[in-house]
Amino acid sequence: MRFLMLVRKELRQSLPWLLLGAVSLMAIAGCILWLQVRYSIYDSYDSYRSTSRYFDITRHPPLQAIGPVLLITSLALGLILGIQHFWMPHFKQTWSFLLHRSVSRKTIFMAKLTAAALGFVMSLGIVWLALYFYGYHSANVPAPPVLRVFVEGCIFMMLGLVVYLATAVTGLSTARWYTTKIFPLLFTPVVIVATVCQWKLAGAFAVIIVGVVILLSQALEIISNREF
Amino acid sequence: MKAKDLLKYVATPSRVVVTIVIMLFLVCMLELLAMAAGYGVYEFFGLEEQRVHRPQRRIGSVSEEELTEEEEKRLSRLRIAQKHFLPDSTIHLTVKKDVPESREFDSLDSFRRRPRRRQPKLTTTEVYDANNNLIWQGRSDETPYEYLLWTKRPGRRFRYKNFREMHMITPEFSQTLEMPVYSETGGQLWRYLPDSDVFVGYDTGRGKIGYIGAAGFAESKSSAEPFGKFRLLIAWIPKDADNRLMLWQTDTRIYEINFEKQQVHIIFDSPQSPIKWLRQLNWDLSQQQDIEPSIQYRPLLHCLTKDGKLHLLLREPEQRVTINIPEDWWADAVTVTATEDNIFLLRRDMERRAPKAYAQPPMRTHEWRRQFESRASREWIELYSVDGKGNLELVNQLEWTHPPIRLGRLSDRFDPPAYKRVTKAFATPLYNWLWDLAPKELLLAAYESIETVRDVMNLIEETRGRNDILNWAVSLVMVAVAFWHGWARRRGWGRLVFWLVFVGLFNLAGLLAYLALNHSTVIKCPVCGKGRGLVRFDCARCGEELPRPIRGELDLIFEG
Repeated sequence: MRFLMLVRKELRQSLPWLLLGAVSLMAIAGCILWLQVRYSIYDSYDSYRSTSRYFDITRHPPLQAIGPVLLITSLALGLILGIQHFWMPHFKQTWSFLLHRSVSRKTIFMAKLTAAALGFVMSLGIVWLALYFYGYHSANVPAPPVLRVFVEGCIFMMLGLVVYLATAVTGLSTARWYTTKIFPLLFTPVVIVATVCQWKLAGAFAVIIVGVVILLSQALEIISNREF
Repeated sequence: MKAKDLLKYVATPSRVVVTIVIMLFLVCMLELLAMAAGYGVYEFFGLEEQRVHRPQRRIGSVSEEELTEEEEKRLSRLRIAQKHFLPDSTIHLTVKKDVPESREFDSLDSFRRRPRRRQPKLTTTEVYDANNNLIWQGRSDETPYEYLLWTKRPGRRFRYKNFREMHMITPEFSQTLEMPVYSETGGQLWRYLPDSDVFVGYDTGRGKIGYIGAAGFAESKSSAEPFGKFRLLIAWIPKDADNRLMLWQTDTRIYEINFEKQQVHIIFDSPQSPIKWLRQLNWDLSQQQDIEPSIQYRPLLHCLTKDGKLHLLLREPEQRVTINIPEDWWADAVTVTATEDNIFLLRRDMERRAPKAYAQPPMRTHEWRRQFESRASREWIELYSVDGKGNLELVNQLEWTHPPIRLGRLSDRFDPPAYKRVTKAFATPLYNWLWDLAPKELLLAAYESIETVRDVMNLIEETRGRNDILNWAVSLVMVAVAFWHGWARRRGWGRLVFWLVFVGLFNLAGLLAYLALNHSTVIKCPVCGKGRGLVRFDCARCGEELPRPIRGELDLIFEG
């Protein structure tokens, strides 16, 4: 019960950012997708014939152009939520107030993490699902996008959670900026690049899991032992 | 084990991993900067010039100084000339020369650094017989001879590398392989499904037509037979056709897929031995030729299987020939051709052939190159006639000699300048060991197909340590610094030894990681006067505990 209260409290505090993320993604990606489906090369089979290149047999899905938007929105949201959850209590000096509750520190951390994960699903996940269905059911697209594309979008959202965890570890670390405090944030590009380089979904999930284990274990250890 | 302990055992190593990954990258960047600075210094003082043009010496049994100028020229021509065969098996040597073209620039184009208009490149050709006598000379497009064409790798092939690149997630999502089919009644689109390894077809109304697998068309996905592990595909539009045909090669089979007719033909199946490579001549008949050749070639596809057999698949008429390639032949350099009358096999080989382990650790490759490139070596070509049963008959051959490579050039390649040697001394020697232990095929496949992996490996190759005495001496210095730092702060021998080994293995990056994770304040021990870390209760030297603070008058908590 206390855990749920904490989750609700974090969600309430993060709500403006979650709404902003959802609205931005819907506005930018929605416009791009609508324009692409309406006016793009996917309007008919003749597009295939018109490609004079002999070897033009590989195709991006119609959702191609919104991939970078989804990825950037997800990473930005992860960074903002991480700052909101772990840096702002430090700046506002509210850590002591937060930790005085009759729950363990790990519970507080897990509540924040759960709120962030739920926030990703509610703000980006639902919008992404809507965009995917729009692309899937557009009559102008010769063949619907494969399910794999939807999963890849979910992977982008998981990368946002990796950024969130890295921001959490950086925010919680007591080390100095010029030593190891900044390292978790520097580690995230490694995870992101290693993930988007994978050509099998299992490989991408494996990289993300390794990244999450590395960052989550550090975050839990620091929050359990550090003094606030 | 308690959850808290488990967390500690995971968190601490993970922190070390994150730190060392970042430090290795940092050290790589520092090395690159240092090398750039070193190169700048060498350039400024003219040292680079001296290094490149230092006197070179040569070893080997053949000394070119003993030859006359004419003999030297003839030998050189023999080496560099292209070797061709006429259909009657006569050998010709051809040397092409570019005619210098005038590059006129107008004022605007010269600003843009572009020629005003590109002239077709004009070349002249000299044709020599096997005895190196000139028999014809003139413009290349007026050559009176027509030589045999040989099978080669399909030019516009889609390889496993492309297949992986296509499925790479990337910020723009992965791509799909789609084969459109046009007809007057409407279009179809056949899309490859990598998970089920079959094609699914859609019509213009976006309804599913069915599936195409190894056994042909199927109504449902479950009844479509998977093709097998993909290796290569060639797609072409045959003459007078609207739609593409596709040659689909897997590990053990070659299929020809006609999407328009929804048919799949297995044109080669080798269940016992996987296919190593595939080459073709005139199989892809979409290519329009400007000049109709006087030699009529049969469409030919040939592949080498891993058991060393060369399989020739011919058309017009259909024929299949299997040739057993002798073990001592360089099978990768064998090509074939088939005219209306004969089948020929061309073997190229050389004494200086790279060993199978050529792409192995660079140090060993360098050893091999030193050994072979510093002495003269033979190279030869042989033309064989092939009968219907795959028997070979030698019909012509030519042999020539390569002079030894100058050692000066070798040393330039393998012995880097001093600033590089010094900079590389700070790199970890682990890269060389990892290269030894890593599965080569997997690594090379990743190198070929993933751009990021290629960039990282190139960065490592540029900055990796040379595993020499200097490299190890710098590592030892780093260990000594870590020992000096860690002695007063040590919290157990095991921990200290671990960090010393760690620093020894990772060199400068290891020392930086060690300092980032272990640095703590040191105070002067009130008993022995030496430095002692604050994270330790007792002094590492005298064993005395930390001094207790002196009780003040306003202290509220007293000891009992």
